[in-house]
Amino acid sequence: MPHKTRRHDYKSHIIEEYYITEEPFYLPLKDEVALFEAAYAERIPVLLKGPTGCGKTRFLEYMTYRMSQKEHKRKGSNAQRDGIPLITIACHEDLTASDLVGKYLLEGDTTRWVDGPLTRAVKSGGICYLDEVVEARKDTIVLIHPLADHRRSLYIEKKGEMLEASDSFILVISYNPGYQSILKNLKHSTRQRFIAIEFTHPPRSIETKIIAHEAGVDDDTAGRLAQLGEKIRNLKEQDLSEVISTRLLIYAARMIRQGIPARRACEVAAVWSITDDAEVQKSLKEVVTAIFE
Amino acid sequence: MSRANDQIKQPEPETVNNYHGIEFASIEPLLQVYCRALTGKEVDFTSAKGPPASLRNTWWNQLASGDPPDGHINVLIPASFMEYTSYADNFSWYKSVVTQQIAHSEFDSFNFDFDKESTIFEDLRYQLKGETGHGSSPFAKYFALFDDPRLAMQVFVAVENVRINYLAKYHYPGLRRSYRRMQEYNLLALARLSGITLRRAFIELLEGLEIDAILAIDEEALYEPLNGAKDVLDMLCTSTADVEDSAEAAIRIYQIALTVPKKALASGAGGYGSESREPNASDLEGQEFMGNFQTDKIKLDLEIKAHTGQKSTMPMSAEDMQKLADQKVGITDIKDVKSLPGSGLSSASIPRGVHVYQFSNDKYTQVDRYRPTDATKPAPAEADERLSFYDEWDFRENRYIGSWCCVREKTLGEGSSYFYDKTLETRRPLVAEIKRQFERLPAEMLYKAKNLEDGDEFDLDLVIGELVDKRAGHTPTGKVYTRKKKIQRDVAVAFLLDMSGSTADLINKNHPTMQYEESFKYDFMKFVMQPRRRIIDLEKESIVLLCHAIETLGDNYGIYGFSGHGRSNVQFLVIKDLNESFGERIKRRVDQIAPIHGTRMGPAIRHTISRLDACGNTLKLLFLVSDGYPQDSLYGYDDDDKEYAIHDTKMALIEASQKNIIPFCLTVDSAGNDYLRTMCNDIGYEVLDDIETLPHRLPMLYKKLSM
Repeated sequence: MPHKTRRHDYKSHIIEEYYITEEPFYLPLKDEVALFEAAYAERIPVLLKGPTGCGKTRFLEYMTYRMSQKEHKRKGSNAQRDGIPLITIACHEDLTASDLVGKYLLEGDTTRWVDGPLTRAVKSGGICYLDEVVEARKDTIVLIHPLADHRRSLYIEKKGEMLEASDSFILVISYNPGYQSILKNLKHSTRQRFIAIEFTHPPRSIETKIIAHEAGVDDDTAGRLAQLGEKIRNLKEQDLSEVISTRLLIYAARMIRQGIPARRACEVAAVWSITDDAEVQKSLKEVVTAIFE
Repeated sequence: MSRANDQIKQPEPETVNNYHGIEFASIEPLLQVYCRALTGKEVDFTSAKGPPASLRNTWWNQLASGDPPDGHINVLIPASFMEYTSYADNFSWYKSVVTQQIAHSEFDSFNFDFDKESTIFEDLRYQLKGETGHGSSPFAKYFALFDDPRLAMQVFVAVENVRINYLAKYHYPGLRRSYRRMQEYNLLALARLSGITLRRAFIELLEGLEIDAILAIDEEALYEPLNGAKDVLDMLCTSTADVEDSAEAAIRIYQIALTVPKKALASGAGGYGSESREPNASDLEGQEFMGNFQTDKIKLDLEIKAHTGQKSTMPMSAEDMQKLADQKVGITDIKDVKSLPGSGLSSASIPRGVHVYQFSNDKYTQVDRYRPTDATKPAPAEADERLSFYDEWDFRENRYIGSWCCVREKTLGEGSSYFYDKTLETRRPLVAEIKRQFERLPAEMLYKAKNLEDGDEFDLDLVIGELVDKRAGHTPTGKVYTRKKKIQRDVAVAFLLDMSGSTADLINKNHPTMQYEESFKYDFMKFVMQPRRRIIDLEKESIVLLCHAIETLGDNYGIYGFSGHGRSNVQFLVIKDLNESFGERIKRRVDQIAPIHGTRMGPAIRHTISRLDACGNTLKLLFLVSDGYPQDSLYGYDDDDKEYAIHDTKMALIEASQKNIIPFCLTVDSAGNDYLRTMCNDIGYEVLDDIETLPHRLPMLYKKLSM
């Protein structure tokens, strides 16, 4: 009898070959699409600011897709490699310069240089997205300075090389000003190399459409969840350090779609996820029970 | 507008010994956050003196007195409520009342724009007098359009209430049921009005039309106008209606109201019209709006005074309303729908057999807590006692009551060391195991410092990185060493032992009292004398094992028991003091650990905090071992005020954290999860399902916490 093997349906991409081939769903809130297009045309680095789960990453995926489509049109080719790859680097406090730029590895008696993701992005001409950039150590962040001004170059100290960025390369960084401490703030010398696009939570009407589309629930349920989001966001600062994201509202909607009663879905996805304070949880549950039957 | 299909529910009779009333103070913090969430504004709650039905007009009162909410919303709310027999119903009533009041802010009752067009009705505002109104505010301009501005104002307030009630239920469907119940409650309160005009009754009944409810009134002249008003209100009740739409609806209903005669309502119908005499004009006009209006504060710049030449007498006084509410009259003579010609209402919308119950602000008998009587004054200290006074946290008042509790500290008397030695002997295997575990705890702990140029050992990762760089032609940094640094163990721990009366409860699990054995049949004494241990016995055993174990570590530890009776007699018994060396006397004191009385945890914890705070140790732990929730004589507003006691204990534990003392609660009460979740918000706790595990678990928990 033949062995039944488990089917693996994952996809693996080399980072400079990760292209957005299908248009991501994104509803513009203001003029951010036009701003990004203008910045990209001028190759000005972009800083995306906004609370967690408000759509920064989705926006960048959407813009990468749009920019790729333009590239295809310009080159008259639909080949994937003529698009623009999106290279995402999640920053954290142990991220070293070597992790970004590259390092030597031992290979027998010799060493071999391996490019880091930043170097690969610079070479391949992708959109390099440094997510939560303030989490990275300050000595690491200064690495991107020459890439983020008129020089558009990366200095690889260990190789003694100066790498000029490919024409389609652009640097995009993101951070959430809400939960940054004084110790972890972006240096002015860094932030003044970027234009900043601010994101907020979408208004109720748009958030309703987003929830309905992403979770596949009816407009009424999506509207109630957006209403809940709006109400919980009224508690910013005083009662909650971080308010509910659109992402969590979508999760709640998905739970509802799977048959979990709305009140319970909101409890697990909206109330317990955002606070551990028992008193605030109680109050939020009252808001949930007022909005959902 | 939804059609009602249920009758007003008759309140169930109140059970005497089952109190479910709510003091608003106990739910105020919860509703404060709820209101902030709904409106995004700060809400100030003010205690209301008038009847609850009048609260629906609070918004108008604020607007009329020139104090519309800006940054803050003022919500009037009774201090206590107990109309319904369940806590949930009473809470829902509070929630609905609060929602109704803040909804005026959320749905913009205050932001009337005279020039903004209605989206539902054709604008009649500009046609009424053929010109725009005069006045300094949009409302003043609006009311100046009417020949009888006072009537217009009454109609407008009722219509706007209808809009708000509809929108509140539309946007908060989860509240519909309780909100409607509140509306019915208000409608029934209206039935208490006596001696009013037919026109007044017409206006008062408008709000009921939104829920298709009407009080039976034996006045045919009312039904045609009510039917007309219902058509207008049906149009108004949409999710997009705004205050300008209410203003237009009010113009139309005002015109209908003018057709209703101003004669007195006939007596004997429902609760209306208690007097048969023909009322004079001042009676009729003086009995005005349902609600606690402040007549002398109207600052709307209206032209009423000029028109009527009399004082603007908007409201019925709060005293009158209270009098009416206190009548406690049941409405039973409800007419059949067929006798309500042209009402357009179904029989189902008519309340049948309903009763209105008296409302009182202070039904919940409160102890005058802040004026201590002689009985609560602490007795003078005995020779071996030390008295200390501590504050107590009143969560309802949201404040500390200064020097409220008297802690009487004394050293526990000495018995025999038999119990101590016997426990070590009978529990020998467990003693050996705990000792083994504790001996593994190093007296000093080590941590590893990295990236050093000099140290005890190489860090292999760093060395490889350096070698690779060297191979690639780079200069190594040399920072490849690690060094172990010592942290001296410096622990002070206080064990606080619950010695309340409930610890005398027997543990039946492994020793069922009626367990049948053949031998018992012939030996009754053997049955009586079979070993049955109490909770306190297990606590004592645990303490013995703990002392034995901690002695091997050399930590600074204290063991204290607490109990007492009332706030002036919190007993704090020293079994082993911090810094006191262990010896025969301690063994003999352990023998004397016994159940005493209540469990006033707050002051006992605070006293322990003061002891620990005086220690110079780096790590300080407070271990609370109890068998149930805190409870003591008048620990709160009565003897069974569990919520108060839990909140005071919670605050005491928070105080410990603030002084860098790590508190931990261990309970053997299997129902402990319910209250410990509240009591120990961010504080560690454990509930032991099997009390028999206490002697083993307590030393292990200590080991874990002191690392």
